[in-house]
Amino acid sequence: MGMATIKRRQNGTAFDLVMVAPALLLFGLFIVWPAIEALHTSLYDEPNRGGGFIGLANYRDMIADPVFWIAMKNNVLFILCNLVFQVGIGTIFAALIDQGIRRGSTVIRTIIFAPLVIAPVAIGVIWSMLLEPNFGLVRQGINAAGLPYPSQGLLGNPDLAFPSIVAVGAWNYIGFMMTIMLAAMQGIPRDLYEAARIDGSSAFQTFWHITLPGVRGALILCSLIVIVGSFKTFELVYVLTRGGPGNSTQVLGTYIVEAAFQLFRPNYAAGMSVVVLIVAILFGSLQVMTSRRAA
Amino acid sequence: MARVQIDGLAKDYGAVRVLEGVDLDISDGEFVALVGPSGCGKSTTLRMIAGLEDISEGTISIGDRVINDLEPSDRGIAMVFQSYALYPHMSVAKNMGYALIVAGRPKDEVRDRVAEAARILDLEAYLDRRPADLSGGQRQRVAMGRAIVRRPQVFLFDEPLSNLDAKLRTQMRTEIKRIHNEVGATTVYVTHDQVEAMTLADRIVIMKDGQLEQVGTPEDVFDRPATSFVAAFIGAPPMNLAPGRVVEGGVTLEGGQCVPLDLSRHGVGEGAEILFGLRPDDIVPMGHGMEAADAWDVDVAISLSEPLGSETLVFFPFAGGDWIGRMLKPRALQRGEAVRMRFDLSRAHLFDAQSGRRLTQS
Repeated sequence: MGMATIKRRQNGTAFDLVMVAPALLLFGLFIVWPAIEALHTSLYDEPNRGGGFIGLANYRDMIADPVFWIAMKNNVLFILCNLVFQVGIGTIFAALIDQGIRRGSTVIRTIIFAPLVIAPVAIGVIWSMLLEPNFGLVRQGINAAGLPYPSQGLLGNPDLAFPSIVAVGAWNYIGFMMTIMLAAMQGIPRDLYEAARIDGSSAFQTFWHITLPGVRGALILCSLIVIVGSFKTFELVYVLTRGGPGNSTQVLGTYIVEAAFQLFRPNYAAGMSVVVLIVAILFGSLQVMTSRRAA
Repeated sequence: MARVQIDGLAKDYGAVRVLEGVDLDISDGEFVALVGPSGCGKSTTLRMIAGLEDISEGTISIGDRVINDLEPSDRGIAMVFQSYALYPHMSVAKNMGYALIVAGRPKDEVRDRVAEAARILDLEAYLDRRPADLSGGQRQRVAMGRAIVRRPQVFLFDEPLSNLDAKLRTQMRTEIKRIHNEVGATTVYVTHDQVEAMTLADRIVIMKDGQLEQVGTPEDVFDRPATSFVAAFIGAPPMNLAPGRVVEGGVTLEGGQCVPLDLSRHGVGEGAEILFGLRPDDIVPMGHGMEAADAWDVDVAISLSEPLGSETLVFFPFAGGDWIGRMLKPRALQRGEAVRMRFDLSRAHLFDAQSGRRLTQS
């Protein structure tokens, strides 16, 4: 076979289709079709109520459902808190390691990064044991320090459960955000910092005027990862609180599961999944656009 | 503007001493170039003046102030980096005015001083652009503009032309000279390019292995190199050097050539081990150059010639090495061609073979 033949074959549409077919097939089977099926299901009444076509009634129910709005509000709060704690603290840690810490930075990086290699469910289990209200290590530690500890534990207290989940999530992901930000920071030429020192730029001014603009792309990427990840968050909340106590930590992910398998409203749950999907697609395409622009 | 005094400067990296006993007195408004091979300590010295490296020993003063413990921004210096180090996301104007902006100067003042620097550097049309939209030469000018805007007492340049192509480098060299004449600031300029050093500087400081080899005017270091290292480093092509021994009425070089020399001028006794040096400019084929004050003719066979247009470099085997002469009214030369070369021995240099120090007295 001559080179020209190979080239023609390689350039043909049929060849292209064959090459992308496996990915397309899997994508279609596990992403597109379930999404279409979810949309389709959401337009029908629950099976135990006859299962007839009801149009957008499930979506109207959603608008009137206070728990849906609690979950939505918690998701938005979760995004904001995660942006502040994961991206914010991750960036500050990265800046400290990049500029200030001369010895042991590899050890510190490894320690901070380590939680990321643990599955979120396992993290939930570990922390539910640590935060166990009667004998958990956290209670023992706080008691030993002579400080008060809520009788129902942190996760059982409606005011403290949400911040506790945010804290565990931060512990889990700060290392990841820090690693991305650190890589971006280390790509900034050292000369710029020296020039800034000669120009009389303070540490904060240098961070603000030199470092942050230099890591803008990475910062947007981290933010989008956090936004999408927080919007579809499920495992951590489900394992730690199952949305409780009293819906105080309910997020869309856990409410969808609860609606489908405890309230036996699978079609209503499918409708909420469609909402999550649409929001995730919006932010996802923003992420793709940003990374393309960065490239 | 200010005088820069460096006394007993030393730098240690851990247990390794990379700079030792550097003493230098730079006058107000003077242009001093630090030259030397890679790793000689010239950039380290500059960075210590800038405050980007700690001083292990010694003092640096600018004006009447010892600046050892001052922050870089408080030293009254401005620095132009090899990489330009322009802030990539800021406009040219903001790059140039950044020092004033972070110091909280009024906006009018920032604008006026940036405009003034832009006028000096012919950058007025580019003030709104980002560094990425500029050519290498323009970026270099912005880097200089950033330095000018600060109105420093001392300008520091760290190999500022290394990233430019040969043509642009020549242009920018002229530009730097013009700006120095216009601004008149004390300038310390690090380069490994001796042509830059020779053309720009009032005085040249040649460094080797963390120590000063010679400090002098371009004429000094070229005509009266203090060591064989300086002789070989300054000048392109470098000075021809050959080991030899002083005998009655001259020196005997490796290979047996006996060179007749007036030893009274060289202050050296018979039997001394020396290095005999002569610049290519002082070796010319008969009939192709200057009149020699103290001519000594040698018949050689050409091993290589490099025509440069107005002159040709002539390579020939001599005293165990390849020596270079200069043909000032060039004609085509064949490899192996026999040529009578005229050595102007009144321009010969003798160095101590061991220490490399200059023996010749004038």
